[in-house]
Amino acid sequence: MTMRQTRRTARPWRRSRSWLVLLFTLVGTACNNEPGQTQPSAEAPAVAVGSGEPAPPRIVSAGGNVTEVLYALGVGSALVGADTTSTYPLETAALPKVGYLRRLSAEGVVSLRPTLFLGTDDAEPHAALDQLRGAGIRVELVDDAPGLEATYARVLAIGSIVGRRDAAEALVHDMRAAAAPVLAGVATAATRPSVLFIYARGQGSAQVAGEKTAAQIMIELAGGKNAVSGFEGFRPLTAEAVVQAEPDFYLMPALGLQSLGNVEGLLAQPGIAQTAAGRARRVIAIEDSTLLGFGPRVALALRELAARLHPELAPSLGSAPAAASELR
Amino acid sequence: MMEAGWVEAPAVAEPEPEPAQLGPQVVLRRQRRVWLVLGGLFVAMLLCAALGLGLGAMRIPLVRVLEVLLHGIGVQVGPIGLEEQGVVLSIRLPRVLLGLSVGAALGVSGALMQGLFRNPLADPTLIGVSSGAALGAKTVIVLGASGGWALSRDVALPACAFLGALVVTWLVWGLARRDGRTEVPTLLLAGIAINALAMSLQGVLALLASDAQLRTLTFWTLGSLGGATYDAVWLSLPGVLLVLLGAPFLAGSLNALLLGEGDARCLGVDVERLKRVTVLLTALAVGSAVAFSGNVGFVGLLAPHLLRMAFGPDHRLLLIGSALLGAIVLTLADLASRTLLAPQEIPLGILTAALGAPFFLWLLRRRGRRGGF
Repeated sequence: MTMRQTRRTARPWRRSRSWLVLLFTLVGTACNNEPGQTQPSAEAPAVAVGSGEPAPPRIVSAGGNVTEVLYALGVGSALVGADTTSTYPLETAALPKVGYLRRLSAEGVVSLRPTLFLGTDDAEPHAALDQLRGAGIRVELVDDAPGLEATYARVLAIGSIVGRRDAAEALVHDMRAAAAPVLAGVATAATRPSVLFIYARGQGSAQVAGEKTAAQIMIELAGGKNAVSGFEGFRPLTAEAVVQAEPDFYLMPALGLQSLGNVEGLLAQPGIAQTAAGRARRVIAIEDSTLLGFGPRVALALRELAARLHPELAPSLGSAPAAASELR
Repeated sequence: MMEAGWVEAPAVAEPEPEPAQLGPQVVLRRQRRVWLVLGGLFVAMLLCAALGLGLGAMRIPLVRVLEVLLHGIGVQVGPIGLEEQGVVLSIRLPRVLLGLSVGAALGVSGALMQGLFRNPLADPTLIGVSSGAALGAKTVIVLGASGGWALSRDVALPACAFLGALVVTWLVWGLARRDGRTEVPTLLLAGIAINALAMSLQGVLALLASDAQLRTLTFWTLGSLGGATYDAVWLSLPGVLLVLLGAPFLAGSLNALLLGEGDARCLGVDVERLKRVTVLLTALAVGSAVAFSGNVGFVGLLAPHLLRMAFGPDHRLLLIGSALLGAIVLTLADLASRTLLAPQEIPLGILTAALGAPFFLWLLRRRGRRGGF
């Protein structure tokens, strides 16, 4: 198509005006959306923290297990915001969300006027954390390592940071007490069934957990062994690898299993239906943050998992009616 | 002509009648128009930057923002809160500056690529620069965690994205070159092939990635200025400024190239050198930009097109105008990204496309059948 220069230049400003109009419309939209997003500092939480400390902190937490510990320590009402991985307990749904743990919005956090930002060491971008410090906010990061002792250490660290050391020690005591019968039970187990942990978020994304993963640590604590080895982290699920691994059980986070279309969907994945565990539908699903969060509910997940891997031990693993309801 | 084979009806239009055929007044008027438009865009860009500084998740009155800025350059205006100072000086200001830099880089490289390929669909992705940057960044995201990198990820990621952009562009360029000449269709095809290769490698990385890494990959693909620091600004700006200073010197040659490669050569344009410099500048600009912002789509396509529709294809206006308009679009998109869902942020690439595409289509429809590239 030939273009006619003379005609185009005839009314340049008429055309240019149209995009200017849009430009200002955009600007107007941005302006209109700006007010009302921030929270007045009037509604400061009325929780007494520590022994006789004057001003209660306003906390933004990043990391599902950190948020959960804060609630378990009774400082949930001091929270003024959380990241999108904070989904437990249900009260977190009402908190303003400051983005995904690894993609935090610095100004978003500052706009909630927190005095303390408490996250795991996965929190990013690091530049945003520096900017928070620059804005006078206390930034504390705790180790996100999996494992029981690491979990207890994390709870105690969080307790110290928010001035609730006593409550943290009591919580750790309870957590140890809940885990003890499970650990003692699986120590007597005669077998160590092999478990293949499958992570999935929708069709075609299934991965299996190798060494040095939170999943492997949970499996071993519950008296099983990882059905695959020889690599660290996660690998894509392949039919032959599954058949070769020939696990005794499949373990999945509940939402992951749901995303595949439950057990039927899992069986439709390559190789699964060819294994004995697949044919017998030996699939264990445990709520995601309970299973992998290494937070206050870690013993519940352990008990659930151990009871499935060692049904004969189930009666001796400790009873917990509350736990069962929380897992649902 | 050989380059007519791959694009239907390449531009045969003459961008500007030869000055010799026009009276001096006409030439003067056109010159003045170029300056007028560029000046207007520059003022608009400054206004947008001011908006970007004034608005955000945190409500700070504009007067306070001004006071903080004055305080920042040493003028004492009264007590300044640490919080406000942190937000304006260490969050918003580097972010706005980086946005201007990234937007200008994407805008000018879009104009350069469309001029070089004489194709309205051309953008920097064609010569592999974007996929190269993505490959570099994603390699760090996925393998950097376990590879025991000496550098921290904050340094390694932009460095590898920048290197990836340059290396992949160099590869495309080298493959398209034969006997000291670079055929534009070969350049295009080599770019497509290398892009496909880079995509497959990115696919491999996505397969290897853990869940958390996968989410980071997605965010990188959608782009964000959330990690903006002064370090990022100072590292990104020199490359972009160099390109902005260099681009106007190509305007005349790119105008001549609109007539076709043969005609441009007859007009005395060193076409091979023009190609080389254009590709180099594009790689430099885009590499410097996306290393810190991630891939931000559509700006490189949108900015030159809007200007071409409004003012015609004169590269004297188009190159710098696209840089200014790109900076405007990106600053506004970033403003929307951090205010619409505050205190959360919406990835930038979603907004540049979501706001840009409908507007672009509307313009396209309104313009009807008149005109073309």
